[in-house]
Formats: sequence, structure tokens, C-alpha cells
Amino acid sequence: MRRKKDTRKKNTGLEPLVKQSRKCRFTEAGIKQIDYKDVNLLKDFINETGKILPARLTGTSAKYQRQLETAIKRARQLALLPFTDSHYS
Amino acid sequence: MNHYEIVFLVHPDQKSDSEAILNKYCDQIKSSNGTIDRSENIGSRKLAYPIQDCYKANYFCINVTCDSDLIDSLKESFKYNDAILRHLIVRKDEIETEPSSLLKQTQEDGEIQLEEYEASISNDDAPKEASKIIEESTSDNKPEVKKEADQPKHSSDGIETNNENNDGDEIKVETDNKLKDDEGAT
Repeated sequence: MRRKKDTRKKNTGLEPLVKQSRKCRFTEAGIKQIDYKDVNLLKDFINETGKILPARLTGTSAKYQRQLETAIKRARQLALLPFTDSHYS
Repeated sequence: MNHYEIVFLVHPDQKSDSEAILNKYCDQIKSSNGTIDRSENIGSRKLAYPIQDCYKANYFCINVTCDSDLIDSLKESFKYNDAILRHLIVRKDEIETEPSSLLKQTQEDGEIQLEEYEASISNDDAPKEASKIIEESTSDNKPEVKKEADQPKHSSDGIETNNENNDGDEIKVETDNKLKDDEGAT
């Protein structure tokens, strides 16, 4: 008997172990301009330390990633979002 | 004439004068031929990080259509006003008149906080009510048990009395369970 070749994908270390949704949420929703005041939306695109998540993890398209970046930075200026997780310690 | 969005944070000590501050800037905009498309008193929000040792601040949002000269004078006045912790002025492409997402979210958060507060109050009241109910139920059960205990005396069957005594035990167990449940709920 000949053994079947293993066709399963091996984890090369380049791909994230936990894959998030790979579709752009803003393209699907048809948003024109990302609002920096929409805190609940922006919270999904920062990690627990307050860093902006890369588009390769969230699946955001390049056009909206640029808008998202400015929106998060504006929200940080108005203390709507944290810069880091060590503000209150 | 351009469209601008002005957001500023007011010191929490100035909470009573917050409407006056908003009106002051609205009057300044109107007096210099600007039109106000939307003015919101968003209210108090917890800050993501403390600013000047303040943990909460009152947010305001004004959308205006005016000249750039007015924006310069507004920036200047924001700078020298100690009551204003932060401000942000952004140019917009379109007029916005609908209530902003920040207003909606703060209102929702406020409602949630209120609900939690009310729930905590009702939880404090609940055990008292529950204990009353238990007292009533125990007082109701006791005469029933007695009646059941009285009946076998007339019937003079030993086996039945045993069964009914067991029933009485079961009722007691039930009340115990109720007590346990109530303790778990608190």
C-alpha cells in the first residue's frame, strides 16, 4: 500500500495562528469616511496595549487603513482611546 | 466658507457652567457670520487617560460653516481658557446635522450604568422580599403539617403516619433548598 501524500498546510510561522476575518469591514458596510468619534468601532482595531492593529490581521483595505490610522490618532488626542495600557496603574 | 467640526473638553469643575460655555462660543460664531449646523452637549465621559489630574470631562461638539479667520480666533480663545482641557478642530467636506455617534454611545453607556445601578438596588431589596416570602411559606407549611399529623391519629394506621411524616420532612427540605437558592442569588 502506498501512503497518501500529506496535503495539510504546515504552519510556516509567517501566518498568524489565530486568523481574524479577512474581509474589510468598511468596504462591506460602504462607509464613506471613518468617524473618529465612533469609539466602539475604533476599539475593535486596537490591541489590549492600545496599539493600532496591522491591516494584515484585520483585513482592512489600504484605503480605509489610512483613514483608520488618522481616526484612531484623533480619538487618542481627545482621550477617547488610550495611547498605552499603563495610563491608570 | 468651509465646514468645520469643533470638539472640546471642559474641566469637570465647570459642569454647572457647561451650557453657558457652549452658548458663549455659539454666540461668538453667530456674531462673525458663521452658521451653526449642529451643537451638542455630549456630557460627562470617563477619559482614557488623566488630563491635568482629571479623570472625567464634559465633551462638546459643534459643527459650523464659517471663514478660516473665525477658526483662528476660536483656537486662540481655546488656548487661553483654563477650563478647556483639550480641543480639536477638523475641516469637513459635508454638513453634518444628525446626532453624532459619540452622543449616542455616551447616552447608551449612561443608560447601561443607570440600569446596573438600579439592578444593584433591586438586588439589595430582593433578599428582604425573599426572606419575607420564606417566612410566609414556612408559616403556611406548619399548619398543613399539623393537619396531616392530626389526620393519621383518627385513622390509626401506623404506615400512613410514617409516610405523612416523610412528607413533612420533604417540605422542610424544600424550604431549605429555597433558602439555599436565595443565598446563592445574593
